[in-house]
Amino acid sequence: MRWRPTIRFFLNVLIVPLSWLALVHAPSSVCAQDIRTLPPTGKWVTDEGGFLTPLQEDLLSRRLQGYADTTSTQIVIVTLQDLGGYAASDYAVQLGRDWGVGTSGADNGLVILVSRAEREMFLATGFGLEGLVTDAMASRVVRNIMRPAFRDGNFYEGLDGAVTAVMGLASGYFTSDDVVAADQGPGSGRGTPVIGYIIFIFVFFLISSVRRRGGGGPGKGVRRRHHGMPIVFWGGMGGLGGHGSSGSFGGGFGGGSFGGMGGGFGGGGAGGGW
Amino acid sequence: MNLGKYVAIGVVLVIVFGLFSGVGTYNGLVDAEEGVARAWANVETNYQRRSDLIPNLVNTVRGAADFEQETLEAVTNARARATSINLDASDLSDPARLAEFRTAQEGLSGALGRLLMVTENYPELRATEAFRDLQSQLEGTENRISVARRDYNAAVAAYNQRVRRFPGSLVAGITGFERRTPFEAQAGAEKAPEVDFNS
Repeated sequence: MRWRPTIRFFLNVLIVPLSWLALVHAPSSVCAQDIRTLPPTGKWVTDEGGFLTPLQEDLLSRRLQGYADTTSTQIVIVTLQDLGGYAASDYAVQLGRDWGVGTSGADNGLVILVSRAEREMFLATGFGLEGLVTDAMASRVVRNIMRPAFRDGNFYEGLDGAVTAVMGLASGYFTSDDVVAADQGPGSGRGTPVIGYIIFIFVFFLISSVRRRGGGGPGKGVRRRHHGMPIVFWGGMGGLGGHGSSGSFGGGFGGGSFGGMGGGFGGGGAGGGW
Repeated sequence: MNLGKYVAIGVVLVIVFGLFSGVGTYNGLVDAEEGVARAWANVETNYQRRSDLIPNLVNTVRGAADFEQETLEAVTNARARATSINLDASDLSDPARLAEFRTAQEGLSGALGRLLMVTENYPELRATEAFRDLQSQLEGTENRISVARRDYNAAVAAYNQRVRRFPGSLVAGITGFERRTPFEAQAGAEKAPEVDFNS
């Protein structure tokens, strides 16, 4: 009978860590994200709703790209066929978050959302722009610029005018200097616990040593290790950036794309129908 | 005796491993709890922001000559009631306190909704840019509230999941982490007061 507690102790000590391993790394069933938005396209202008000609899309993209290059403020235009049953404000905010519109730390992103089926639009401002593009100002842009043009079917003019107005409002507040690249801030180390890293590194070394022994000269082994590095880096990034938009990193060629590092949206902005 | 040595080493390793994972789980709980507290602060900030807008709105509306006094008073009273209830992080595990807060804020939502409905009868007031700006600020604040509330609920769900699931439940039981209450809107009240810009 004296053995009972000992056995139980053993079972606890053995089973707790083992099942911990199994459970902690199981995919969590609760997902914070309840609105499914368009997957990130990495483009400044995403015209799913078919409001713009390719030329108009290109013109707007260039303006937005240029503005982001000089001020770091990222304005993204997204048009949709329909909102899928969500409120325009909710959709715009979630899209801004999912795509990471804005720069990290500054949260100076702005989403201009237009949906065809509901005839609705919304200007969602990131935290960093709320003081400059206030709800009242955003509402004026919607009421006085976008709506009249949209009612006449002049979607490009409406969007272009809105972009001009928003740029004027947001201008000069953030410059590229204000933003330190990839500054992640505190509370970002959540996700993989220490043990996970230890195991990961252990497995990593195991694999690399097996590979080095397995075949190829030392040169090949070194190259493989170089290949491995971004993966390690990415493991960290996933925990840091939330839902980072993988497709849109490394921009700067072609028509340009935006890097999704911001995403601080809290429901600011204004919208309306036309 | 060799076997005994191996077993001893194995036990020590397993204990160390268990300690490590216990600490990791505990830290995870602390992080999640802080996330809940932060999300709640955001909810309160946005409700406060709405309260701050109301005197301005009332004054603007009062300027429109013969506006019904009782509607304005209802808003002012509801605002006073709503601002009198503030919750801190420790209240978040108490559903009754949260329900109290919610009821007060929903009372204010209702009074505001009625006020905006009554303004329909004053087209010259609604046409002024000042009123429209106020209206859009109010609408923006309602949006912020709904976003903050959703974020809070997500934080609570993540936290509660940690508290309830093994081995978090074990660590939480020992170290005294309690479940938090999500912010559930009453049926029909989760919609922000409709503001129609087309009229």
